Amino acid sequence: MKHRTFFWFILPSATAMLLFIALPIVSVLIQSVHAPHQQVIREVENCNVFGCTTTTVVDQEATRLLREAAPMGRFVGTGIYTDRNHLAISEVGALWTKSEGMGDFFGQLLNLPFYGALAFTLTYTALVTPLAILLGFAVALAVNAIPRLFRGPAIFVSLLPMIVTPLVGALILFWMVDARGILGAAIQSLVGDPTLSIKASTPLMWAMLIVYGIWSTSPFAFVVYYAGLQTVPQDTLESAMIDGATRWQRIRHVIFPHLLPLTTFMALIKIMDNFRVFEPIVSFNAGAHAQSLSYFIYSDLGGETRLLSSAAATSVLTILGVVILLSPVLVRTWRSFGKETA
Amino acid sequence: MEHPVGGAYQAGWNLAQEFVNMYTGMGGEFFEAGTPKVSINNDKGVAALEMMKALTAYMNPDYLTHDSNATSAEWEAGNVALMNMWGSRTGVLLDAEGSAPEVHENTMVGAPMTVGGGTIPATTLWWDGWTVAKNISDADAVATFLALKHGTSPALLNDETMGQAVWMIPGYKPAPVNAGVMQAMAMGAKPYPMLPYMGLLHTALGDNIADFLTGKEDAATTLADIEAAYTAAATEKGFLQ
Repeated sequence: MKHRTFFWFILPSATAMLLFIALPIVSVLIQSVHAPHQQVIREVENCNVFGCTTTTVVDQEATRLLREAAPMGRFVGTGIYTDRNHLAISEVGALWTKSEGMGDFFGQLLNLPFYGALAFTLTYTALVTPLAILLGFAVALAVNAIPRLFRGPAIFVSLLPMIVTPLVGALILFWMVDARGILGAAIQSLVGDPTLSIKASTPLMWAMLIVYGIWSTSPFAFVVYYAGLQTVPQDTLESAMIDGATRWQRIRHVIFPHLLPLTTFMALIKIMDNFRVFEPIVSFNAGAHAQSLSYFIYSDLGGETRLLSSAAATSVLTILGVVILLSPVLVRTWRSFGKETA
Repeated sequence: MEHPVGGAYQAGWNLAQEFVNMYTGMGGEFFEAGTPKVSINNDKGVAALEMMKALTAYMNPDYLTHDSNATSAEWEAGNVALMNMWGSRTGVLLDAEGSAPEVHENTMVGAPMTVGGGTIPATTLWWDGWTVAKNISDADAVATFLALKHGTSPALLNDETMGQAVWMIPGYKPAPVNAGVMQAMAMGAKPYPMLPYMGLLHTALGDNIADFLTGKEDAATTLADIEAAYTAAATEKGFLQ
């Protein structure tokens, strides 16, 4: 392709990427190294129907003058990244020197909000990504094996978890696992403990969120694999059958290698999605037991007092987390790409 | 009845409000006088947390997922017999809608309770007022002022509006649904601390109290965590140097 043609060809998507991906990231980066100005606080006498008290107010006029003089706010560099509500560098340092052994250190580390949320986010990503892909693969193989007549309804039913809005799907499950709900009561009678409550236990709540994650995201893997299964070369499959390969051997040596690029693609997308886990925590009211980085951004932006710089810093840390998690897959793809062209 | 006590203890905003009520009832002050420096890590803070935990022993084990709406639903379903509930929710509880007749007929609203030998009730008063924006024309400002003044004047009071809110205007006669609020005021309940940095403390409370109630840490550690989370947020926001 000529350079000129290539330029015009790529221009629309490059512009869109610049506007909708690069600029927001730059804006978030700038926001994360600035904080609001020092508030000018005054003491005043406050009288209302309940009587008079001395109280403090923000001197709006003085604070407005400060803001007009420097609209970007205070430059704080990495101050927000390192504070206790994020990477907590000095707190972690203090823990390291005074903790008794590694167990104690990690126990206390997980009490810091960022690391506690990271622990759940990573556990969720590490379990949901492979299990959802595996379940989707199994469902795709099963659907592909049933007679054509029943495939339409089977595909529809398999896609249902993805069709249901995540918040609504999670809310339905939330009531089903209630101690008085059908699933919750069933689990109680299965383990023979009438006081068991999923919503009251941290490990069970984590398990619930992970099961929900697998249930709601496996249809994506199913639909991609099902499409992929239609492209498996029939000749190879038939010759494998003539050679006496069992169904498992055909899956292992013919179908699986054929679908490997799809698996890489799905792993990339799903790691990115799962690292941003958010809706189930809200729907399951799981804030007491599990928090994630996206949940922090949500509570910073929706709290009583909005913490924009904190939300920006957490966003940048989320992007960095995704980049770190994706790097092995990206490096692998880059290497195999180099090989093919060479 | 297995879990007789109800409460809006959902982790987050609701749970933080329960602490604000309890700590106020204990006679605690949230900040060092005249400064944004938080001061809840004290005997009163510990006592407030211990009292909350003691109450949870009588609650549905899922209490950390029950917000004020879910708790009201528990009441209407006849699953709880006693609860400390927001005055703004009593309208729903006292109407015949949504609850069984035997629950509805026996629902009564009373005065809030004191705690730990305190003299004022363990609750906070919430009230609404109105302001006129500065960045509108004088004519609009006058019109807005007159409309709002009329909207909150004694002329507005009738049988229907009397029960909808506690109106702090002359001529207001409390409806039975507002008995709890009126008694709270008579007992000298304090208003919610209307400080510019209170929202940050409320959020920090809501994020950390569950760790104590679930037994992950002791009261002093939880209070220290809350103070540290608040301090980091208030520093970012420019309230603390």
